[in-house]
Amino acid sequence: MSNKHVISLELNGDAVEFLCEPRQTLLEVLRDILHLTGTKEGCSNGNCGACTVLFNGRPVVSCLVLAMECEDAKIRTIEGVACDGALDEIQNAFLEGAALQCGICTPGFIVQAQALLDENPNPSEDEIRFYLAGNLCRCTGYDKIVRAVQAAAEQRRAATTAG
Amino acid sequence: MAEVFWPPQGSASLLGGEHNRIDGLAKCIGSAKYAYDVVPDNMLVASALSCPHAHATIRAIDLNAARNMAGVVAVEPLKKEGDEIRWEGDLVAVVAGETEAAVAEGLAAIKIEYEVLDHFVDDTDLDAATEANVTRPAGRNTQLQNRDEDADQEFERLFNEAAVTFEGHYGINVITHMCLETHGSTCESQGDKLVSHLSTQNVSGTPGQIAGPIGLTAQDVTVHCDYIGGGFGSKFAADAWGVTCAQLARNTGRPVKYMLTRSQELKNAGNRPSGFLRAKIAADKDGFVTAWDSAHWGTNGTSGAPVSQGVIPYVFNPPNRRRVATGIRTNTSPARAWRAPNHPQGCAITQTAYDDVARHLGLDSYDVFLRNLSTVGERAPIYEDQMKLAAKLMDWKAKWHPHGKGGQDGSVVSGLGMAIHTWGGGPHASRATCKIHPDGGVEIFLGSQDLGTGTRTVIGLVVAETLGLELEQVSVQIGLSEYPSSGPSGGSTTVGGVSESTRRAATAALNLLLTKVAPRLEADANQLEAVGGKIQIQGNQNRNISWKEACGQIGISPIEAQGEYAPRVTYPRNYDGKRLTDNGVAGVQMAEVAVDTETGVVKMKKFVAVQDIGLIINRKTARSQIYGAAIMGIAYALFEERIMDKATGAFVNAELADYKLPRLGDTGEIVVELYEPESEYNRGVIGLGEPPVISPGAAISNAVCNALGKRVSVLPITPQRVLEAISGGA
Amino acid sequence: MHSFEYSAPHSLSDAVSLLAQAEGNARPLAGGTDLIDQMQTGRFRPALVIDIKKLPELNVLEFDGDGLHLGAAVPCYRIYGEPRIVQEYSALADACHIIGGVQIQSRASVGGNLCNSGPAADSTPAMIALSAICVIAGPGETRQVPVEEFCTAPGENVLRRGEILAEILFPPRPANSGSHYRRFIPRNEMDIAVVGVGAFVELEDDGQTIKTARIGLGAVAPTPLLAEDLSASLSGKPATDSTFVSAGEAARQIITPITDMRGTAEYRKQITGVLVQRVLATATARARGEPSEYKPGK
Repeated sequence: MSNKHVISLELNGDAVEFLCEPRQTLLEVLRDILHLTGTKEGCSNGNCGACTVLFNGRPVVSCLVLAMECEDAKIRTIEGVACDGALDEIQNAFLEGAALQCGICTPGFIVQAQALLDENPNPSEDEIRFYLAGNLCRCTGYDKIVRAVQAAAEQRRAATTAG
Repeated sequence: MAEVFWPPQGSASLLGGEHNRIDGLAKCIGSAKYAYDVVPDNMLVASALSCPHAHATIRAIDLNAARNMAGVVAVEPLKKEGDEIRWEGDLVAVVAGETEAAVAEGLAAIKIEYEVLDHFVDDTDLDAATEANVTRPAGRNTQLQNRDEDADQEFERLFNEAAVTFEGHYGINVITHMCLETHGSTCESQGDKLVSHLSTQNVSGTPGQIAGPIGLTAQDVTVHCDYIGGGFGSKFAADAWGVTCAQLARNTGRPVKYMLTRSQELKNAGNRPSGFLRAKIAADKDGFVTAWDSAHWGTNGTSGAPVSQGVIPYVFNPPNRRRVATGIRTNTSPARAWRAPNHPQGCAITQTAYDDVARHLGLDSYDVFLRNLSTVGERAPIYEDQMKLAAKLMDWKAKWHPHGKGGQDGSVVSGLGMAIHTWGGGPHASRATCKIHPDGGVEIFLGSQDLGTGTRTVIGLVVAETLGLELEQVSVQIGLSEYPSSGPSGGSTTVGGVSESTRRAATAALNLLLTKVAPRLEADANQLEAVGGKIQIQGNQNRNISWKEACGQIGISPIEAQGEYAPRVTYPRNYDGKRLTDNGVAGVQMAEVAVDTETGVVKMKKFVAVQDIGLIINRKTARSQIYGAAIMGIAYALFEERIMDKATGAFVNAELADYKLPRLGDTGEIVVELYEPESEYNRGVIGLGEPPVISPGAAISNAVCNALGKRVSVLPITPQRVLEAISGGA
Repeated sequence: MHSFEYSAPHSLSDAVSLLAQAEGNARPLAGGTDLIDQMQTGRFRPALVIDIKKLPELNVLEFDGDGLHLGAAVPCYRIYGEPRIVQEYSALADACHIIGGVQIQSRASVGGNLCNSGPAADSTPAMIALSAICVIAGPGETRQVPVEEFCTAPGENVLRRGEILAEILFPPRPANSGSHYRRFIPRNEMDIAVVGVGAFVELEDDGQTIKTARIGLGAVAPTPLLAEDLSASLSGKPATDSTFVSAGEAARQIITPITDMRGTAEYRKQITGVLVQRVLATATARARGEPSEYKPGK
């Protein structure tokens, strides 16, 4: 039944190879083959954003990407957001700002916020709400998520200025 | 010896502070493992087949083809020939296989022959339901001030004498729990032992539910749940899927993961009953409701129970009231407890009527609510106080205009609305074990769970406060059924339960330690206290030893002490002494909306929530709970509903493109205010999960009504319903 | 998902021959945001999925004397990220900015949006308003089809076996012209359009009179519509609110919406009128070079 292919890519900075079938999504491969379960499954049709990862720097929902499409791609997941054991500003801001409850949407929000701040270091509140609208939080931490992204942006800008 | 009761307000070192979640880091870096993140070696995946019919019997079921598919390892029927299916999406059989793809092909190979039967799914129209013979009486109750009068005549007199009488129609549709992590588990079987990594609100209560049906005893089953991706009242039971997963693991000898799909989740795993109400209301010229005469109905699924009479009308108890309740049986899945069962619906379909009193009399809604507080009982002064606070935060007086009489900005009108609520939130039964190790380490064990509410952190804070330590020095162990049993997390009962048992366990452990340390400090244990990482003579900082040194006195075995809260035992019925926990809160919420009269779109401008919860343990997570509840309330007020197709009986929006939850751009400004005078602090800890989710429906509906001058009868207030209300006469 | 083969050819001719050989049992994959979902739910079960993102022709985003050449696989974010498109083909940028969320926009293309041929596709009414032409490659001659003629029924279009939508060509923007796309959804973002309206307005030199207009309508008929007569009737009319209101009224008469869970036919008619009026006003403001108050999601 299987027509398996070897896929090589860069995952969180490391070269990775795996065997997969064309019908497997990136989400499935991350979770079930590579055991990177920080990327969550919420809906399987691109509506909740829980499985957001960075694909060559762009945020995508990994449930709507075939693993085969990732040959030679650079993928970054929530496990690759913190650098050298230190939390990213966004992770820190989510923690300090209580911008998470059950936590199942949190990795998706953090990765999406990462993409936002990489693209736009000084987003307005409306821009934050717009950019993160593809991510659902049921519990729901929306208000604190906006504040956390604002805080992280400010912290990053301060760090840049200081540096 | 250390005192078990809480320190006076303002004197605690950690309680009431702003603390980060102790499990927040794991959630932020993706290392927190939920049920479906457990991936043991050699694991099978399982998934279920759903019935496409709303009502049918199974004529024939053939699983052989599925069993023979490559990659399929086991097929387990959930229904047999002759069984009746009573809602669309009910689960019929489960396939376990090597990969998701193999399972999908196995499911496709299952052959079932159905005899399709008539269905009924419309809960909105009482007359149609009566005609279809799917109703059942659910209680009738009359209370009159003049008890001896004939009810009909008395109501007629009251309506004739009133300054205003009107009839209103109100409703709120069914919503689902929509946990972002669907229901399910990963099970591992080893001989006669089974571990279920179950997404559950009930770690201590579920082993027995799994054990019996699979031929084990409760002590052979361990339920493990470190993290859960939402429950909201729908994850108390192991459920058929939890049991089947365990069974499959037993039968195959391999680990099995079985989660519901998104659409199965919405169709099977929990919904909140609907509520519809027709009422005739009489009020005096100041808006005091003198008579309430209502009929209400709704569905909770196949058994047909409506919202409880006890919440009609909600919080207010008008002096003369008559209520008739009717349940409608529908071909929809059974309802489950949804945050604050009954209350959100009761509030949404009756405090809207109270607001209509203001509308019909041209009065300020605030004044009408105030005027009727005399009927709410002992908590009236608290409501009044909270209303003042909320009005100030909303700037109510400056923004208020009579219903439908505000200014217009292009096609947009704005309005204000409010509602009030109450909830119990008393503690559930809970046991805790606290260990102090000779090396100074401290552990606390409870068979409880953290739904994201912050329970884990609360437990840690209570231990740290009790022992005079920092939060980081306490290791909190929960989420395992092998730990001392603690109640299911629902009804805002957890924070009270776990903080009481934890405080008692930690205090008992500390007192054992103080006894051991006393000789070193040449003092009586009664004179000692644990403060700031030290054990010292009370009030004398100079005679102390460090925590670590103190623990060195323990000997080779750790100190271990238990604490317990048992309902009605810990505080007997007539108990009037000091307490660690209590029951019963009030809350007031106000909403400001803008409505586009051309498109019907309602935008949240501002939302204010004022809430009392007794003693606050962690201010940060307490506020989180209220923000979360307010937004969940905005969800069911404006967006979220289950849509049933009358013709097919299908739940047509059972996935996330069309099951509409608000997104970041839909929620507006939210202001949360914790109401905490000393009198409330002294009552001890009270739960917070439910109360703030109750009022948003009514508050937002009232704001829309204030903007438009017309009532949008049914929640959620979708743009289409707004336009229909504008063009209709309501 | 069912089992299938995957191929990612590097040349258009290879893609076309793969597609032709598959005899109708292959589907091109661009952003995948529709196709992968449709394969997950079993709606499509192709034996071969042809990833067309590596074809240079399908990744073109170029301006020349013919206007804008937009490769069919260019993802939305590249489209609204191009300042000249925002300026000259505003309706297209507007549409691309609200297709799904940002994650979807990283992958979804207007070519895919068009080939999926849903009645509620956001980019199609915008492209209709902008007079875009589909350039279709196939085993035979390359052919061109106006966007408004591309979709033939829900989920169906003019592509023949072996043909691929390669490029969409947008004519150069005339002077004194502007365009806008807006849709109506209950939430601020991330919904399928209840009604979508794209409009192009070209003014006379006086800036007050409509020279030409083109209105595309979505989610109000089995396929996205060009409101041809209505568009023509606006020529020579003053570019004023009362003209826009009448145009909205007229639009209500020419549509044949359905009733479904997203809205009744009556409701869609009401919304169509409101949107036509608002979209014409914004397109006109842009034609005059006035700052637009429009923000996506508002």
